Amino acid sequence: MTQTGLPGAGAIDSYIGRVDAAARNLPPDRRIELLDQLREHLEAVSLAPDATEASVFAAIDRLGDPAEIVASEDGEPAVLALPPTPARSAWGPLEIMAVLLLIVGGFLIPIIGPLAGLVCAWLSPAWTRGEKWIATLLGSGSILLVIGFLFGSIF
Amino acid sequence: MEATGQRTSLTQLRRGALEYCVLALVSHEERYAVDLVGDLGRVEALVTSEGTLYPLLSRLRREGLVATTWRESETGPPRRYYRITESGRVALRAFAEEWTSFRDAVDTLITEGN
Repeated sequence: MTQTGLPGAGAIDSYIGRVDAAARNLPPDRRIELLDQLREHLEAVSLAPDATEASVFAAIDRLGDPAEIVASEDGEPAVLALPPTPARSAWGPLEIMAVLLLIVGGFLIPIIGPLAGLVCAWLSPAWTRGEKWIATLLGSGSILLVIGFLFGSIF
Repeated sequence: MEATGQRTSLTQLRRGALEYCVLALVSHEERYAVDLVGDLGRVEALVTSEGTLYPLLSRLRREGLVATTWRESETGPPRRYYRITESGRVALRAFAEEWTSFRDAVDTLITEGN
């Protein structure tokens, strides 16, 4: 708030409010700096010994349209950039094959099916190392289960 | 359409030259932001509205071409002052050389064209 009693205090607050609204898409530090600069500018005019309402209005006029000021924040993106999306490819045939083989491969060809699924999973360019290990744990579970059944039926 | 295109390219020219005019204005002594903006605003060929100079000053500061200092004032709150930095000086010198040959080339072509 501009000190009340100074000439044009109300006009300064209302102008700063308009800039604030126009600057809502700027990064917070840029927005705060811009508002501080403009307020300092107008308060300096208002604090001058010979200041009048009219001289403050004229200074506001010279500063210009809030939208134009905010638009001049270019050379760099004037609006907040969206966070970059991770550069990872979507699931391709390899990943779908891996999931299918790991889940149902064991019913088609026991042991070999899930093993082929693990190979697909580890060859995948889209999956991270962590995701490959999860696939491995899940896949080897079904392989161990089949081995367990085999041993159980033999002995 | 032609008038719009002309305005756009003049705007680009102004924008490109303006930051070096700011650097030149703070190259001799540090300047109080309000005076600096007022002086630049009076150059009508360059500036459309004084307010647009503040984002420019902030950008020059972020790029390390000018530095700000705060000074106490007798009549009011502390005042923001701008001065050129060493890399600002280097940038200004490089532009001044480029500008001279650019201006001469354009002048020659425009004069011959008429």
